[in-house]
Amino acid sequence: MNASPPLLEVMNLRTSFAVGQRRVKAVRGVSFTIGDEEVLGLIGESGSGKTVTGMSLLRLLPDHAAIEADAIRFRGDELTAHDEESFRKLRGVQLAMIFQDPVGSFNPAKTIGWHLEHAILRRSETDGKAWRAEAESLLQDVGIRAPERVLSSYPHQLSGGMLQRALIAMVIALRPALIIADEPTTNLDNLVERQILELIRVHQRRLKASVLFVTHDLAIAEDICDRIAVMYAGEIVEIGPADAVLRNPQHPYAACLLQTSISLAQRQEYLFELAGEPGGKIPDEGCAFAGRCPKVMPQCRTIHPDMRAVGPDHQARCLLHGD
Amino acid sequence: MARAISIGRVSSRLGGVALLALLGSATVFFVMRAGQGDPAIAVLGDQATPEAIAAFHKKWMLDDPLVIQFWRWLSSAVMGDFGLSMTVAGGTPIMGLIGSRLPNTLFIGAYALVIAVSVSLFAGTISALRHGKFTDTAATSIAVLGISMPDFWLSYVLVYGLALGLGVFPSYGFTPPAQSLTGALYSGFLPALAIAAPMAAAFTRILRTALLETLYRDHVRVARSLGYRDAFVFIHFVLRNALIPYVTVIGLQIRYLLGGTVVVERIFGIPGVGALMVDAAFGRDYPLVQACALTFLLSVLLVNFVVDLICAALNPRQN
Repeated sequence: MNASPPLLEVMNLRTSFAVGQRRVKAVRGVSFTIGDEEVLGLIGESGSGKTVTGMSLLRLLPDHAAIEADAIRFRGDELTAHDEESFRKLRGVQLAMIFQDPVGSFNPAKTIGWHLEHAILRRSETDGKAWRAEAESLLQDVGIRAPERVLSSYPHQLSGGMLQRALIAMVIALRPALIIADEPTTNLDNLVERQILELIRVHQRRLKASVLFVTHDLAIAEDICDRIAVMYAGEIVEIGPADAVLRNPQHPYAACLLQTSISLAQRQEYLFELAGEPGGKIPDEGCAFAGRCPKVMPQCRTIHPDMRAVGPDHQARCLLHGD
Repeated sequence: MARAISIGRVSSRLGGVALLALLGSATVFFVMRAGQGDPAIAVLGDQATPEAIAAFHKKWMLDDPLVIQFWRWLSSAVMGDFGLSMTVAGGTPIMGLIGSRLPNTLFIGAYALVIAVSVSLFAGTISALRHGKFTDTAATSIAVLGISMPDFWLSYVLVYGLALGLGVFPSYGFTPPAQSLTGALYSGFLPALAIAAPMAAAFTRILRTALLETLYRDHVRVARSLGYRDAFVFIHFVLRNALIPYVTVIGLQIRYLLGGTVVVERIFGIPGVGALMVDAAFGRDYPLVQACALTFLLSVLLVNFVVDLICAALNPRQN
């Protein structure tokens, strides 16, 4: 019924870092698609490769990172074929990012007004002082009541929540089609967190943008995401509609993760099921989760499972589910 | 950009400058008097009769208690009167001596500073952007070499190579800028280079470190994520923030600049305050040493003050 390609199509993304003489694989073959106006949650523990996935898509990693992929198509356009300069022109206006630490996201030597002015000019050349009116209305759009004062403030004079609002204002000024939000509320307190999430959702709908929402917080993911991908050790182990993944997880790791957040919500100490820690040595063969899996079977240590359908638009990377 | 720098801050800094000038003068005064030697011997010679020496002491009131002598010097110095030189032509006004030589010293100092800043901006930027590559290793190695070379040694190497060897620059002598600016730039090049080399090396290293530290900060990644041009990101997000430590270090290094002029003026025969002070110290010309030292002290404090104002303007968090 839909002939046009999905907004973003990622096939077999692999990112590794040179550490001394070794190469550390942070992302080991990630594939997913994001449809128009869709919010895809990328969830997993620290070190699972979810942030590196987001950074790889925008080519924002340092030089010692190597990014490879079979294909990264944005509206059918093959992004890997772009050189640095033509990819730069897509950044911001087509693919933008909201970062984890709003305080560090701003140039400490410049005012918020300066930042917004250049974001507005990046989208379109406005002459003279015309940017200022637009900047004020953008700040009002993100819930800032005294835009004049904020425009003339330096980053160190504002709170984290205020800065995250201002950063969102910069991003929406560029009207990107895809926003990668990398744990945008992690450093904020609970009340502000709710407001920022609401803001992201409102503007996602208004701009008709899609969002890749990176988080470790399942409650947030449930609130904001249409679909969810669960990452473990640099791979997606389960992907599907948010409801299906959260209500009825099919991969033992996803189930454990969900159990963890339920225990936290019920104020239990922590989860006993999930022993060990991620980011250790990943076995050369078999399932990466086998060492910690409560349902491990002998063949899990030798066979690396591929993605198997477990429901409508719902897949899991686990041998428990028949071929 | 326009930020009001508070009057209170400026005036408290000026108070500090006055206090430091007083302490510095006192130190030079008492250290000079504590040392060996007698200006009478220096002026009259080894064969001077005790009567002649006593007359010299009486004339310059050298037998009064030191505190009285210091007070006498201080009260006229505050009024801008540094008295007469004991050694130069039997009593030349010191203000005139310094006034005629200070422009030469300031010229050489500013010349060296311009060379050091230009070289380091270029070399520091190149080596940070080519981090870990051959250009970086080469620039960093040259910088270590530059820091390790004492200025008096480098002066002779430059004279040997560029003046005596290639004959491109004069090996000795200086055309004052008041006489001919191009002549001063030409004849002052080697001495300025000798002073600038170790400073350029130090500035390059601090700029490289500051740039590398800034290059991987989050706000630079955010700027790149918005699709700004590389040059814009580098100038406004990287270099702009790296300038704060860079300018601070330049301020701290200014004293080496003046120390350098003392040595280099002697080697290249430049009639500056540095050379004047060295001669005055050998001749135990107390008031002249005092005046030269105070001139240097005030110059350093003034430059530091200006550097602080620049740093405050560069760093909004400091206000």
